[in-house]
Amino acid sequence: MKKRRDNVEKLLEMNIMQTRELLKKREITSVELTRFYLDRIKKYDGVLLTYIKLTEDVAMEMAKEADGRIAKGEDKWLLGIPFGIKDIFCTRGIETTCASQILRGFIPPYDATVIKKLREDGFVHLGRLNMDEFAMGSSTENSSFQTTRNPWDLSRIPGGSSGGSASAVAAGLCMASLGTDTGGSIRQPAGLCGTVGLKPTYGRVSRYGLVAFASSLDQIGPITRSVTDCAVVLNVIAGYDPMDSTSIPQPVPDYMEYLGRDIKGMKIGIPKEYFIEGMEDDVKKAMEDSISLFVNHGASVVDITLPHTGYAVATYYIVCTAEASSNLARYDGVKYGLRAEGKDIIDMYKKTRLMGFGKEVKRRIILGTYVLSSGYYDAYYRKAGKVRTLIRRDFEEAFKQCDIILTPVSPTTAFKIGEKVEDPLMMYLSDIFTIPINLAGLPAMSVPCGFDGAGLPIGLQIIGKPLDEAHMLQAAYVLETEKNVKKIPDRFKE
Amino acid sequence: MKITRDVVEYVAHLGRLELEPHEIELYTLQIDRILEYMDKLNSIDTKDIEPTSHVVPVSCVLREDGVKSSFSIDDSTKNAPEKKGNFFKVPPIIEVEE
Repeated sequence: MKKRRDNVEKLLEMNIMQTRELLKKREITSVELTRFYLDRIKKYDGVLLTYIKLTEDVAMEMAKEADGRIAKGEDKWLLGIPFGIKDIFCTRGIETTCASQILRGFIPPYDATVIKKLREDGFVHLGRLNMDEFAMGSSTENSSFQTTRNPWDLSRIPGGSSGGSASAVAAGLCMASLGTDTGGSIRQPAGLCGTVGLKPTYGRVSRYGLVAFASSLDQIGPITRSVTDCAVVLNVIAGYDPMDSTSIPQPVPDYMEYLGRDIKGMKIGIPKEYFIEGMEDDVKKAMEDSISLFVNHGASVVDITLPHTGYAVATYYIVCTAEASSNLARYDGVKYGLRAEGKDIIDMYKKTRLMGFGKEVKRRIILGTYVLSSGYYDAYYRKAGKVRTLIRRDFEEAFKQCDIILTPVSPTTAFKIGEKVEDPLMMYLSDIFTIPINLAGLPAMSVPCGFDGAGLPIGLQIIGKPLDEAHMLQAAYVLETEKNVKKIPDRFKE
Repeated sequence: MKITRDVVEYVAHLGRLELEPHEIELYTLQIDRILEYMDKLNSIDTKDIEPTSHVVPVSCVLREDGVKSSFSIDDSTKNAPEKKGNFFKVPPIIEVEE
């Protein structure tokens, strides 16, 4: 028993680079590694509810293929590495639902660019991970299938919308995952589950084949157990794609090269507006400890101001609901998914959407349609666009004085299931620290920096300049190496 | 009140959503509170500020207008809830007098 536990811990504690070495040396096969994760999912996911669907046959087939490629001496970052995939990326031949009833049964005829890139690299697709319906939410409670649990405390939410991804990574139910982030949907669940999550600069990763929520804010990024894995996955998925007209035609650096570099002379901006009332003491303390750690490593602290921070949540919920109301018009019971009977076409649309959409999705479509409707457009949508300009300028000014900005990811640690579900505004305000970054299109990541008194993870947010994911990762790696924060809860190491 | 029941019903119609009576009630209250919160934006002077609709300064990305392969009709329609031959089938759009 003891030996088995040691072996399990060894595999779980290895990052992708170390696992890759084992695969290359043929000390383990991808089939064995895949089986290891599938067995873990079967053992633990009954309580965690991270996967909507396991794709066991597909996984075994991909693992065999990867083993064949390895045997031929092929060398790719992710060859044979088992991933869980948020159920929002179109994946050829695999049902993609966005955790919505309206997309049930939808089998995409093509791969999203990120999936295509992972396939070329030889990843293994374990299954589809839970999320808030259409990525609208901060807790996975808006999934039409199930509410995922936080592996550190099963009575609490894992965060959202990529809550299935963060929980599965944290509990060791996959090696790595892909999430999406519109207002914090990678960073907040990563923070609340004690994993690493990175939202790249808007345009850095192609959105082709990503089911759209709010197109001017959505970005795809990795959720992993370590900063190294995060850099590896980003290396694979980043880059220009002609299939996405907002994709940025700039070369991508090798992010791995920045890991292990010192941070002497790095200027760290601390925005006073983020130390608000309502921030838990333990979060504040973890934040201050992290700042001192960076200072001890030769970084210097600059006090900065982001004066329009307090307006970000209001701005965001105008912009994102407006874009969502437009994007979700495509779910009309004609081309794919659910269809209800109706006496004419309008009636069919309305009944299909009544049956197919959950509460939060309908709330956002109504709000978004309202802020775009004639007579309210200027007062809401146009006004929000102007405030968005001011929020962007805040960051532009701040980055004249510093290289990265540090804030907490969330003002509190994971809240209880059911605690905020009846109060949408309270739920929206839990993303107060992550939302401004999407409005400004900047890169930002969440790195575990400790635990609160109850043993719940706390995430540090590192915000970078446009296209400067590299320096964020560089700083995150220093924090990770020094803090050595515990990764997988004990109950998932049996 | 920032928003009334009637407006919620009308906007839901524009968004092609049928709502249950209790949902109309609930959404009216919740959206009213959210709009009230959004009022805080009115305290900022945004005169002469250009709105941002997109953070990346790209405009009108063009490609060569060439012939390329695309999805087959079969692939494009295979997810349709109802189809007839190569077409998506929908309920009547134009009223026909009988």
